[in-house]
Amino acid sequence: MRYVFTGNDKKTKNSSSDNNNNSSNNQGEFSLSIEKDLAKNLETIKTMLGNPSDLVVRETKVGSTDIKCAILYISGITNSDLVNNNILKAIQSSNIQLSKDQSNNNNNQSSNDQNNKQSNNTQSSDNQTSNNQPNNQGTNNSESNNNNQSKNSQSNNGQSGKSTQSNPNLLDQIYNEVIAITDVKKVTTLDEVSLALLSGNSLFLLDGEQTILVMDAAGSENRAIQEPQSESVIRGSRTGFVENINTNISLIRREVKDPNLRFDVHEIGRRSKQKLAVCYVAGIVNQDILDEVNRRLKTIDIDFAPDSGFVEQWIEDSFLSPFPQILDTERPDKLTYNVLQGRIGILVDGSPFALITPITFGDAILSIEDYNQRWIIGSVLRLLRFFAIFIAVFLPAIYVALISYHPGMIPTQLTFSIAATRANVPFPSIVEALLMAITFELLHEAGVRLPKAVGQTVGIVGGIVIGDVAVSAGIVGPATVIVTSLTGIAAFAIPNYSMAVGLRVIRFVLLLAASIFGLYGITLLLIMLLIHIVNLKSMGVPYSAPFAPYFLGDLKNIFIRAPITTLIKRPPYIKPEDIKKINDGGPSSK
Amino acid sequence: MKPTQTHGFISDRDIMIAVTSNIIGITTLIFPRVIAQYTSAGDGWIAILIGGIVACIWSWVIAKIASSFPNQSFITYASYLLTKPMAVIITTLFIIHFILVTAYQVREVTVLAHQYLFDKTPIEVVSLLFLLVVVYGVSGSRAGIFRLIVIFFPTVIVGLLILVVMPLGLFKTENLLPTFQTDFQGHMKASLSTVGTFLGFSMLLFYIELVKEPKNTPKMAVKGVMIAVLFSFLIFLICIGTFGNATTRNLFFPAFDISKTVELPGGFFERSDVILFVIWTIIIFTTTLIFFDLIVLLMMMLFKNAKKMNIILGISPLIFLLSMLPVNYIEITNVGRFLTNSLFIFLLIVTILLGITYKVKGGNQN
Amino acid sequence: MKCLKKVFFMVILLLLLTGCWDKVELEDRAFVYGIAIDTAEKQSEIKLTSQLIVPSQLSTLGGGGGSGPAFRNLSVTGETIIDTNREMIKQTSRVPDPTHIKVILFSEDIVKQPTLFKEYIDLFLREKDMRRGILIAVASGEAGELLSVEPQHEKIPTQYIGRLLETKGNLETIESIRVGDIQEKLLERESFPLPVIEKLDSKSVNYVGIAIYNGKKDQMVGLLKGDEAKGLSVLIEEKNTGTLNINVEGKSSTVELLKINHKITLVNNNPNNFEFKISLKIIGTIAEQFGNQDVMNAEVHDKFQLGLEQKIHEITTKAVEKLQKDYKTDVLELGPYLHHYHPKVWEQTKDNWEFGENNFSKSKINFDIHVMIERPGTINKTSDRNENRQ
Repeated sequence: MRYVFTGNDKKTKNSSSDNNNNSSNNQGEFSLSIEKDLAKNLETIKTMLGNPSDLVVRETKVGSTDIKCAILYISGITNSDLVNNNILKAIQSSNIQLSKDQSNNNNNQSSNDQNNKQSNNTQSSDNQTSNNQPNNQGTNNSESNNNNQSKNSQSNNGQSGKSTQSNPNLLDQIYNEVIAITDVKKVTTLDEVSLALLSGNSLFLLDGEQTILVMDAAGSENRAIQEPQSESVIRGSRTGFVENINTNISLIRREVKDPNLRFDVHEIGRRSKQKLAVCYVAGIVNQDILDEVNRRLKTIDIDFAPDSGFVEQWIEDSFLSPFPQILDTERPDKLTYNVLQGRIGILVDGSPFALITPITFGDAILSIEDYNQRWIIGSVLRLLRFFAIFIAVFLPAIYVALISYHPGMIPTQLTFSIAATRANVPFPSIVEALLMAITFELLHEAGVRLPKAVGQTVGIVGGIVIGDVAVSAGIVGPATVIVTSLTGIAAFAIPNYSMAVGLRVIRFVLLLAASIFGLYGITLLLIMLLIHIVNLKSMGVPYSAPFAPYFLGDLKNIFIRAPITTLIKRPPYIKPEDIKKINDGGPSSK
Repeated sequence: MKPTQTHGFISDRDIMIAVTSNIIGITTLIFPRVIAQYTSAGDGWIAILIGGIVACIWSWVIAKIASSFPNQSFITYASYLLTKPMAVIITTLFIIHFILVTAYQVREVTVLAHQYLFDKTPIEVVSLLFLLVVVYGVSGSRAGIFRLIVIFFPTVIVGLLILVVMPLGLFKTENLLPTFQTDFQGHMKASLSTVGTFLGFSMLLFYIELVKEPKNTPKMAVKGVMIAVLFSFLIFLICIGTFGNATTRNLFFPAFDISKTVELPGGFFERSDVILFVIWTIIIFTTTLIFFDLIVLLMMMLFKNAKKMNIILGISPLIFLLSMLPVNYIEITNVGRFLTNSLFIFLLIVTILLGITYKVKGGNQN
Repeated sequence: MKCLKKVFFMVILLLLLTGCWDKVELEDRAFVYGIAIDTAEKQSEIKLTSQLIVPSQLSTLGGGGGSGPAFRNLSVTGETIIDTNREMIKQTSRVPDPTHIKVILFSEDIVKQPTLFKEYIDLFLREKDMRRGILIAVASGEAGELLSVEPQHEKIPTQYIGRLLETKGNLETIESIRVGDIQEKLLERESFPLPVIEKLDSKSVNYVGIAIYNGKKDQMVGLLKGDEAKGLSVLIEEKNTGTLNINVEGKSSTVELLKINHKITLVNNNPNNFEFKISLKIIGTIAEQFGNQDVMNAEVHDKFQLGLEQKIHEITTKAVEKLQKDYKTDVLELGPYLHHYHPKVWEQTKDNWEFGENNFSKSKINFDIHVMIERPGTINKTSDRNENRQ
């Protein structure tokens, strides 16, 4: 128990409840274990959570008996309809009847005696209540008995001798017959109880019972599934991930009905206890890479991950690189496609961005829409995108280099007209280019932050003031404006936002290099960039694949988008266990 | 995913690409001039063919010897074939040669940059920057170096194709005429200097240890040499066809000037030498990178406990100082000629020594 | 390692601080567009006129623009060109930038002096910023004057001259000569033609004819004009074509040549009595006729062809005669032909080709002319009645 429990003042609110507790708890502390006494347990939980106002505690009696029980949940993250109809109503209206002696506590009995008695009791109660399923009774009983036995012995060990046994068969009965919720778990530690409660589950506490039922009735207000904001496409699915990981998992499940689709669940966030699911298809994924991903995920030690970006940054290979080594996407179809390629998806609760790894440089500039369009269109778009990347990264640098160092390389007429327009500009080209580039970035950033209605204003102000007035005022040359806007537009043609941002950073460095050494500087920096890329890895997979190591067959899926029928292999550089994706019986044939 | 391996992480194809990249270098820029000096009109192609064939055979022999000791370092198999001291001496000589070559390359980049881009920028700065980038490249993993070479390869090929195709409009077949007017001596000299330009395959001696399955490596190595020969052949023909023999003789970097000749009216760049300057820088960078990496590889063979970074940082200032030594272009040219000739003789001796002992002792005894 | 990284960054930072050695902003450069080289009054000195661009006058945008001329001519005298060029810096406020030189004009006086042209052109080949595509022309009279015409189509005289040199469509002109070509010719010591232009009036420049530069003597030896120039053009040009006036039955007609193929063959290889055959295959079209012939008629067609053939024979013979007899200079590329295709013969005669024995002048040159008028133009004849009346 690492928790710091704040509630030390113990109040006994429910004075009406009978206090039959034998174990004496002193003031100022609450027990760290679950007791038999209902009121005490309630008190413990309340104290642990700091007596929150949104904790709903409903005490009632089981069916027509006098046995007390309580249902707990936190309003807002639990579906109260479900609790009311399927739990509360079911318990209250259940026709459970009990012999009197069972309602009392049997003190100081040895465990062996207990067991005998329990089994008898269970049988009798079963006979009394349910006559429908005589065949299954025996097995059911023995199972539940065994469960109880082990649990009791555990709790006995923890509680060192003191044992306040009640009727576990009643709990089983409720568990088995009354509660109309599928996902019900039995929980015996306070740790689990708090996690369950805070995750939106509701609790069922039975007086005299050390086991608590956790019922999954989570149902907080969720954002509806919407079109992804950052990766919209013209042709393709309109579905985007939401913050709820279960919804996200369901979105993937819905698309892939493969029994080999796996979700390894991790928990991250020391305090947030977020669920994290590693999604892959067994039989396709490379086991080495999967192990590596799981190993890295286990090392994560943070309080809270507001977004999958935290996970990404924790597990990426090189944090010094401007390139994303893990792809983020809002699109379930993209994740599914990649998972079926042999990659690994990571979903983090609370983040609508799923992660894909391992990726290569080429993957970061592909859009899923390329595959949705016919291949010629897809190919042309790809080529266009490569061109866009070239412009987005190099154009300002080349412009500055040519203007300041090598005017001989610009066509004569263009040289003269640029010279003419720049005649009155007071700044050297590098200052001018930086000025415009920074202005553009500012506009971009402001546009993102501002509400949509105001966002247009920024566009107008930026367009008119920067574009037009700055030129006519002679602060910048029109050529620089053209170059800057072309660069800006080209940057938006890169499908992945993280990649686009990374390239934007590189653009500035290149700009500086160009202003100092002209073309020579650009060339050297280009070489350095490539050195960086070839040494970069994503989960151990070379980032420069498939360009190098050379997988010629896969290049047709990078530069162009070859017809679907020719893309018969999964990317070889991630070494999937099942390399063929067409004509080979599918992924389950391993 | 996998721990860094010291052996067997490159394929035959990587070796082929590396051989080509290492041969096409600074000498490719100059060699049309040299060949044109010895031959008349377009006759140099004979010399290139002869030189190319010699280079192919030679590289095959070297690759054959090296590949029969799979995953063994040069010093290991040289010690086995010759003796340990001999192997150490040969390795040391190679190291010295490679250091000189690297320095020479660094300096030549400066010459090139000054020839076409800069006037006032000090040569020290231009060289230093280039060397720093090379150092950055070498400090990465060796697998990374090979990946880099592979990435540059298509760029280099496309660049050279541009170089060859663009001036075709200015190509005059008459310039290649008259044929067969060169005397025997001229052919001999031209062939020898052609082989000299193809000596980049010497790196086969050391890199084959990294090949996963070196069975086909000799074949691929020869293929690599052949690609280089083909491009040299084309570049030479284009130079002669565009400029004529007399002009080619008188151009400092004929293979570069050829791109200056072409103007692209209506293009964004009026002169294609922009693109080609970038490509030549990349080509020379690749060669320098390989040589520098060879220095590191050989040094680590000699000093087993040395750290890679320490070697690199120790060698770089030396290379930089050496590259600053020649004071003018005449000295640089002489240095280049001396390096080619010395490597020619040295490699010949080494090949013969290794070849004979290999015949006597046989391969892969380990 | 950390220390080393710091050192590394320091070095980079230092470079950043001290960088930009070669940086000259576009607007700080004075682009030289055209150069004219004249003899100076003092012997051994030259007068260099550079045409600099004044970009703000070229601007079509608001502010500045429009009023003055878009160029500025600077004339300086000095001993070598580069020397003179540096002299110019004294006068300009900006760094002269030679990367965009389009045209270099040499005055006739310079080209006519032995070796002078060769010496001056060295710079334009050596300087790294110069393009190999700079156009070369000879100016009849003062070359500097040509740069001060005020053209009406273009804003800058050099542009005007450059376009003029590049324009095809007249047989009296030759294809533009680039500085790179000149290097080849000079190194091989071959003779070559050069275009000659002159200032017609304050607004226009005229293409005078073709200068003949003798590669052995390293000087210009003569000038071909009119029909002689046309003859030479027909003999050496392939892309540049134009029109020829022919006489068909007493009426002038004009034929436009569309395509000229020529092929040289050596008939007799006796050094003292070379005999060449130049085969010309010419395809033409009727551009204009003053008479009113029915061009669809096969006979008429033949007449046209015959007329053209005669005309071509006439002008080529004229040109060749002039070259052989008066100028003793082989711009017909017969020498290079021998060199390329008959190297052994060339070896014997190369020292006596254009001087000494002058085998070029002695050799006999025959023409084998094939003319084909492919198209009659779009009409048959202009009016029927006219013909009936005749």
